[in-house]
Amino acid sequence: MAESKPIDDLLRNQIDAYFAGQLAEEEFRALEARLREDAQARAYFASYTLFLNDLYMEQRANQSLVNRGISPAIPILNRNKSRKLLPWATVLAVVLALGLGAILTWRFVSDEPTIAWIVNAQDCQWGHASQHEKTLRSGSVLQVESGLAEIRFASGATLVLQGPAELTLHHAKAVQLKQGKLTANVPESAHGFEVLTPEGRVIDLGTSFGLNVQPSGATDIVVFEGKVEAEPKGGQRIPLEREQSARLAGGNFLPTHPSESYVRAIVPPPKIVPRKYILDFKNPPKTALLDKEAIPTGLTHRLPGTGKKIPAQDSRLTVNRLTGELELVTTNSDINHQVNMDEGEYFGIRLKDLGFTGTEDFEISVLFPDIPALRRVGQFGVYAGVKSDQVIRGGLISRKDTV
Amino acid sequence: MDTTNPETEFAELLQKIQGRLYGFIHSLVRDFDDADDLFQQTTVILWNKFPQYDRQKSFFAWACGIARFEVANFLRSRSRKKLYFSDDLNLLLVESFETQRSENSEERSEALRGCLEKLRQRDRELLLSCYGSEEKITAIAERNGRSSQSVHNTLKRLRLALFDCIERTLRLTQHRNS
Repeated sequence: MAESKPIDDLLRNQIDAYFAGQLAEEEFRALEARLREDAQARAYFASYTLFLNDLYMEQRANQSLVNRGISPAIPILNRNKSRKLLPWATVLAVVLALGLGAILTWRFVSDEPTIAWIVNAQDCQWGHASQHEKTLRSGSVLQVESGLAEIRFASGATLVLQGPAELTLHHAKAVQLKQGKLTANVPESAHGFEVLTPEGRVIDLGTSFGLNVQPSGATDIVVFEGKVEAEPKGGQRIPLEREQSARLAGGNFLPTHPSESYVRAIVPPPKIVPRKYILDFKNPPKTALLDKEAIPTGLTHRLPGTGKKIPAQDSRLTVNRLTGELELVTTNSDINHQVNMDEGEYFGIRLKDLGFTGTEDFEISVLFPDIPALRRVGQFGVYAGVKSDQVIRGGLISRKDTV
Repeated sequence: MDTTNPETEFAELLQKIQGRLYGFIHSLVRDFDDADDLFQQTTVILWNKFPQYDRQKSFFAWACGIARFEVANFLRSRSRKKLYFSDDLNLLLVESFETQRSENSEERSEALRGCLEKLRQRDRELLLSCYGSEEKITAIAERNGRSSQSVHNTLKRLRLALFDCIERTLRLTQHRNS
């Protein structure tokens, strides 16, 4: 086996160009040869591929926000850390491939509203000494027995208090953490924000950091971004930078490895509203797309951008009310590459008709009691989208030689 | 010895490898739509052939073997506009993907977002809006009075910088957790 060379710019550029479709034949051959003989180059290639996949997911999520008219820069900063539900919001139609009757379930998800000062809380049990007002003043005491509370200051600083914890507010740039955990996000406007603890204080220099005051009073500090100064009781101020952590105890400053986990933001739990739609081809609703004999199919709309050449009475559709089946003679069309969309059979029902307003995230699950055998390239599943070139899909795909 | 049912076992095995399997497929076809289809198709076959899977062997390697076959079939049915790697290289790549520490996906996407935030807004917007088709890049180039090639060059620079930033971030996280 040939030797591995260091990863050089030529290789990096070639790999990127390979994926961007920007590689001329000669360079392609050179890249292929290099990868064939160099394991390190292949490892780099694999890791770059995985990066591009992540980036692509981010681009698609971002695109769906742009489609909703939301400025793309803001949501990137504010989006939930892990989003399990599809952020595809502007969907008006769900188009499904044919089943022998199908049950669809929707779950709508929306964010909870926020309020001023104590701007957010999650599973929060307040202690006896806590104020029962959302507006906090100098001298206010917050006791969180369990759960999370988020406090926003006039200075712009934001704290997330993680129970059990006790915090006293001195003014817009100073608080005292008696015990428990907090994380702080301090913008430029709140530069100099201070947290006092039983063992010293932490002065912010434009950053985000976490603090944990142990029952003994010992204070653990971890800096996530930027820089802080830590001052043990009666000691000197010592700078701490990004990724560094330390403990203040007994008047000393001790560098440490961060071991605690900190909650840096409150992510609201989703509000879930299930909707169900049952299609029964023995008795389909009257207002719907019509089959070849003008019998309603139960499916109401075609995906915009498809089926333009299909007549109102669709000769490829047959509803069999005796057996409760809808039969479709499939067409040769390819939604990936937008081939033959005018003849394509992509029809379904509108999410709008189930109460979707265009701002919710949604999740769809479908139960098909039976799935017909697929021949040639066949796909079977659910489409959701606003247009033939703006859809997502899930389901089965199969080819003749694999069924 | 094995008391779990095959569905659970399969789901667990697939869950562990799906990011890398998708990556492997995408690296061969370089088109996300085609990769989506081939990935789905491959997982259906994996499930159908799961009774034949030899537990002594790597599930990832087995899955990639099936994926390679599917990709080869797919490319045969395609008019070959692009150049594709030869199968012996594809086989070598299986090993490279297998050894990727790729299933810390939360960490990876957090690093990606952190690094995206560090880009200038203009760059971030460009990078996030230019993906998929060549038409999109052409349209953006026209709107900004630039050549497509210059947009391509900027995108390449941004991608490479972003990738370096993510690698750095992940190394730091790894270091901190070790």
